Amino acid sequence: MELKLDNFRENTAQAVGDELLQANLTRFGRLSQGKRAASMARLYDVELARDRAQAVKDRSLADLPGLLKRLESNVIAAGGQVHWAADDAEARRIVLDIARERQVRSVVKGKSMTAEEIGLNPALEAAGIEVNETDLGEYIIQLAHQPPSHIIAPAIHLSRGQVADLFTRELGVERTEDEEELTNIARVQLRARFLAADMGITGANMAVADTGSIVLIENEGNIRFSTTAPPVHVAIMGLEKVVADLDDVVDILNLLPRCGAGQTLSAYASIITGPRREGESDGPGEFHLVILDNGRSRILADPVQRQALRCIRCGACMNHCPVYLASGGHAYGWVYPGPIGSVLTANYLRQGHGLDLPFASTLCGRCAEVCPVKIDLPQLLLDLRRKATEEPAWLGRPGPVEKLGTGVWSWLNIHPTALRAAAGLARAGRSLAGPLALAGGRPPLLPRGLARWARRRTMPDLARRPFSKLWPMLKPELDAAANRAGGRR
Amino acid sequence: MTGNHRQWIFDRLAEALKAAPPAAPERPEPRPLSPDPADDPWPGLEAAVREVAGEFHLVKSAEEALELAAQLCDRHRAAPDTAPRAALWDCPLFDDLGLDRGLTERGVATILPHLSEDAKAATAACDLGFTGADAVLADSGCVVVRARSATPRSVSLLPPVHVAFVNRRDLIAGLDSLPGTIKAMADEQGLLPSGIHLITGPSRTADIELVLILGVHGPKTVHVVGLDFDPSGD
Repeated sequence: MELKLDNFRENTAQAVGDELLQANLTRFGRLSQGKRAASMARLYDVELARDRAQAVKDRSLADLPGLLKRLESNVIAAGGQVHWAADDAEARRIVLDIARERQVRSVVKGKSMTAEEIGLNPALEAAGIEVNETDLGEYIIQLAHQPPSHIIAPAIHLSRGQVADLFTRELGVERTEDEEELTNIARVQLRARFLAADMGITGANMAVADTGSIVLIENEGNIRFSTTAPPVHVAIMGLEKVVADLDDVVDILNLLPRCGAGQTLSAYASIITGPRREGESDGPGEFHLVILDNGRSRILADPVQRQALRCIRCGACMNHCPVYLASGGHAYGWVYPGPIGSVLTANYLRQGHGLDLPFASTLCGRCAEVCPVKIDLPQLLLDLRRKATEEPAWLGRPGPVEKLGTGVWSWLNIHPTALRAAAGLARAGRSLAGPLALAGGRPPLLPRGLARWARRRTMPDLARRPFSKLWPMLKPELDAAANRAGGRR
Repeated sequence: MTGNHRQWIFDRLAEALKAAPPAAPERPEPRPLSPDPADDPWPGLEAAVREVAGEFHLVKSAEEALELAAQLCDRHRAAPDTAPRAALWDCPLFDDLGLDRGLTERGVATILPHLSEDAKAATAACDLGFTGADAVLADSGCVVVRARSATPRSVSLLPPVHVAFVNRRDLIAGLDSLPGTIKAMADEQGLLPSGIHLITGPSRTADIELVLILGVHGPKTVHVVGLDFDPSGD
């Protein structure tokens, strides 16, 4: 399955027609929202917790160069190695070089959206390296040859029946729809791979400048396994993931599991500092940290969009988004779906890509309400809409038809006589064409560009008589009513 | 992009911050996010451990601790006709309790994985793993363990059952107290242990239809054993 970028409308139309997907998404939205609300309600002070988390990220963003340098020297002091990648190609090259030099044949991977972002798996596979996704959801979609549809619940678009079919087909096991048995099948399949793997690859939820540590948050134990069994550990992080100290870690850890999975704490949070030490019998002998820019420094330079770099990838915005819950993650066409995905896709990819996504929002604001680091997502989406139409650098120029349309519309709005005349014409046209076509909500016989535009829109019905004609009759009535009310006073 | 990626990134970051310096807010007033533990912290901890599908036990003497450990081994043995196998940390707490000897006397096949030739394989073959927590968060049942040469990471991960012992003095209120606890683990050079693991209940997933399943790649069962006495006898 290939994701189709810049195709949100068609993708969504397909998703909305998929009854099974709709049922899966509806169930997911209901359950995840309830779980988050319950776990947040147990916080001593929700707003204080969010303010602290936001402050952590804003302080870090303001001091990124300093923190990254401190992180680098402390990782090295702990015996680790640090690699810098300006873009995805360099990040892939770094990981491939590490793997080749050590003759790595098989890799176990913890779920990492950053690894998805740089397209790591195809690159490793092309080099003849076996890649084993080990998070249950990632394992399922790897078997199904699909990309993740959610940043923390990657296979949530599939039902247990679909997973059962997949396991039977791909693994040759007896069909079962029991979640516990399905989970156990994956446990057995993957355990041998963990113990035999030459390299473990993970992301990083945070990196701590003061201690040179990375923090990994998970529930299954697959990330612990990937950082315990193989002889080499490579962690890939976006450069915005660095925080100053352990107090900062606590402020984020206090909210990430709650907002992500409705948990007070995830089953595992691991603070990894360098490779295993002399005399230790497990843990990797080598630790590599790959620090990735890939568009992040450009976002930092944008005073409006930079708050997107606060994102801690909890997924709450998508779990509460009416658009995500109707269209599913694949419709967004790239790695990051939902409201934050609509912001990140356009910002990371640029060159005109992803610019349909900011328009795929009702601006209802629930995403901003649930964001643990208070990213004002509707504001960022509106800013991107403006950029898509006004800023040549974003290459999202409006088409000539749209330009003409908005030009005519703005001229009409400052010329009332012309506006009335145009409305009169439209009314006449409607009474003629109405019986033919307007019943379907569509104006007939439009030129191709306009027809495409109109296909997605329902024309507002024009009043039979315009307000300007009604006003002379309405005014005396209103005046009389006002007089009566005044008389009573 | 070719050339020095590190320099390129730092140049871009400096440029970005210079053009429009972002606000850097202070940490909002540090008020407690978790309540202080009660005088008797055990009932609260028990409730927290149960809530994350763990099991809690309280013992009042070394003898009781050994009896409980042996019972757990018996309960979780893989087959009724073979001795239960347990991987143990080699730590002062277990020395004080006499855990290795006590379990062996009670018919448990114990190993100290760091002394095995293949520590990971040996640990993976065990029915239970026994660790001593550096700290436990009273409000969430979260067990904090650290990797050292005689206290391998695998023991809390590979066997299907994890048993963590905790001293009363190692209970901390919650996440707010965690930074201090972790900083205290640093060596003279300020270096933290290679692996510090926060473990809250059994390994779990909800990746299929958000249905909670315990025991994916880590233990399916986690026992937290509170020691309501001073095992060092001081």
